[in-house]
Amino acid sequence: MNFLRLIYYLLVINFKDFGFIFWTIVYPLVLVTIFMATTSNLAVDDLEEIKVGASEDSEYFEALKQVEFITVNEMTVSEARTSLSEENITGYINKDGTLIVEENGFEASILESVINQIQQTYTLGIPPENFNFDVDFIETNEMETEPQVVMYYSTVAMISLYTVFTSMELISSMRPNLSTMGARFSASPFSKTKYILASSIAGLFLGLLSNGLVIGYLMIFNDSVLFNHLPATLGIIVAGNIAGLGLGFIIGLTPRVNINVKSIVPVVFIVGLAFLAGLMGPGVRTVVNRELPFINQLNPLAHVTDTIYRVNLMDNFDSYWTTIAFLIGITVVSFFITLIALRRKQYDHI
Amino acid sequence: MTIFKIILLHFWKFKWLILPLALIFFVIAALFSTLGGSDTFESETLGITVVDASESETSAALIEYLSSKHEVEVIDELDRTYLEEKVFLMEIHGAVIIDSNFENQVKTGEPAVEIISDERAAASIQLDSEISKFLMFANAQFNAAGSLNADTLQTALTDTVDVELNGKGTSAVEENYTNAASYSNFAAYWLMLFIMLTVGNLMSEFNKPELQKRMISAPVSSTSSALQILGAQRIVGIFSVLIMFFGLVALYYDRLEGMPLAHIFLALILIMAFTLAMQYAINALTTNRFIVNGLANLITLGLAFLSGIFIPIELFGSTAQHIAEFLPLYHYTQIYAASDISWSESALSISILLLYTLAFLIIGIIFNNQRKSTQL
Repeated sequence: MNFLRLIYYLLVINFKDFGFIFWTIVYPLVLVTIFMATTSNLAVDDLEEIKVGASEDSEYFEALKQVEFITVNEMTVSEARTSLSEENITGYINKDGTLIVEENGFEASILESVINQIQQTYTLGIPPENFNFDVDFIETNEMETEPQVVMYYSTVAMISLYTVFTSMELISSMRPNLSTMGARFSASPFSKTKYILASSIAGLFLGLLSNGLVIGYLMIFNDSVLFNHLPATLGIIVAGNIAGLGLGFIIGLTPRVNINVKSIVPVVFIVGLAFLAGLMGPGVRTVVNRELPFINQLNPLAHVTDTIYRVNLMDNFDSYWTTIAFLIGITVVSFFITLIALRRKQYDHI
Repeated sequence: MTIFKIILLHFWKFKWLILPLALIFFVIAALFSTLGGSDTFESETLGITVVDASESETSAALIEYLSSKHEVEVIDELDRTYLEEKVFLMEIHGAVIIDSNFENQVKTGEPAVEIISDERAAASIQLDSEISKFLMFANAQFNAAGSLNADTLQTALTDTVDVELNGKGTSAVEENYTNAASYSNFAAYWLMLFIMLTVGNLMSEFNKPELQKRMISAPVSSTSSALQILGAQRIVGIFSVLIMFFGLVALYYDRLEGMPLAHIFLALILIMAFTLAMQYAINALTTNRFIVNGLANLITLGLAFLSGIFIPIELFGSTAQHIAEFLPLYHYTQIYAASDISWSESALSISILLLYTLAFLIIGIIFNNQRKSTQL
């Protein structure tokens, strides 16, 4: 009973702290709202048509007219240069067959590829009757990627690590050389294990509440369906919250550092991990994964983000248990380090 | 000067936070500086993973053709989930699966390869069109001669039209400017986050009632105390600005042409002053470190997103675009909005940023006086 009462008191203490509520509930909700306001147009660039200008007597004019996604208009070079700089057309085909484009890009590359194909058909030197223009040689497996979704998932992953603050405060408050409460605590016969467990359960409850609110908010207000497998998502989030507790234990152990200074470390740490996992847009994550892939292989937040993504958008559970084991592993290792660091401490004076 | 020294001493405690934070910043900035434009036309290079179950002459020719223009990884095992995941996580532009019966399918004019990609994306159309071309040519060779002539095919496929960039394309100067602007955008986020976290947490401790009561009884005038605090904060702020500014110069020391360095330096100084003023107002309102940390994150991330630091403003909806124009970080970016921007062109944004700073200072002074009167 005492144990449950202790959890209850710890929860009440946290709920009465407006700062804590702001940090764990208000901040994530506002952040997600900002994402929804700014990323609505972030989805993949749909390519509907490529507008092209061509000289009247260009040899490619008639051939280009047959291409489904290309619209060709006759114009002079000077008109074309103006249209190109105003981005009204993607490219212009000169009388001599050269192509003029405004800048490098996918549309320019596609146009170049199509014109090359026309020229190369002549170069190949095979009579036209041997070409099967109507045959579709490709079988496509259509997928619809949603880059902005990574930002929502990494926000959820970031919040799941917020238990780091609860456990960091807990360990700091238990150190006799760091707080008056710790000094009193170490002199009292109160069970350390019981206190750590009660605080961890209270922290976990608050973390899950915060995650639950953000997920509920996203499910209600976001247009696309983000959580196709909610129970599995919650499983990974519970593991993330437990990992957050473990990381907080380690940070809390830092000796003789003021709690105000110490509290910045997890803020920067978590924002940094979230940044690498795609919180600030999918571009950073893509570059990091391409150039320095080991970073996100070690990043617990990237593991949580990727697994939520795989489970919900790809129905892929391959890495699910590996990620949970990785996250729980962080906690187990941290817990043992904490136990070793905290046991049998003696102080000459406090 | 006691307060001045104590504040600076407290800042020194953050040294182990500043070093890794600055290091991470510069690594990411260097990473992004590798992505640049060009002054000649270059076809987009795609990331492609190919599974070749055929291992025939024709499939080898297709892989050779794709490899000549793109980054191609060939794998033996077909793991569809793995390939779909790579496309989904945008690690590659597309995956090409070549069936074991590939050569025969090319000969008979049947669908011969499977492509996994996001069909809405321009990269997917580029990949489709290049592979279709190869297969159509190969099929034509089989139809005409009964066999594939890989050399003739490759020769034909390398016969390309000349492409000219209208005007000068992305000149070196423009590329330098783009790099400097991206760096400075991101530097503002770093600077704001760093200042708000360090100053916020330090001052929340300094403003606690117990300490303030002692200070009131100490033989230091409130003006002298305020000046010393402000002086120490400014020194740390300027130091951070110098790290960011000379970081830019060091990172691009051989590509400084076209960078509006004076504008960037002023913009950094102004955003530092604005952040300190805003933090002054926040600290006058609360000493709760959860609120201080929460606001630091929320304001920096919120401003950075809404001002187009992380995602180009053109991709926003119209309402979000209008909101952006009222934000200080947006005006920060407008101070160095072009490589050849003049002082008169950036004067409006400079004034707006100064007014924001002044407004927050006034708000801070009002709240600070209220707080002091309630503490007594």
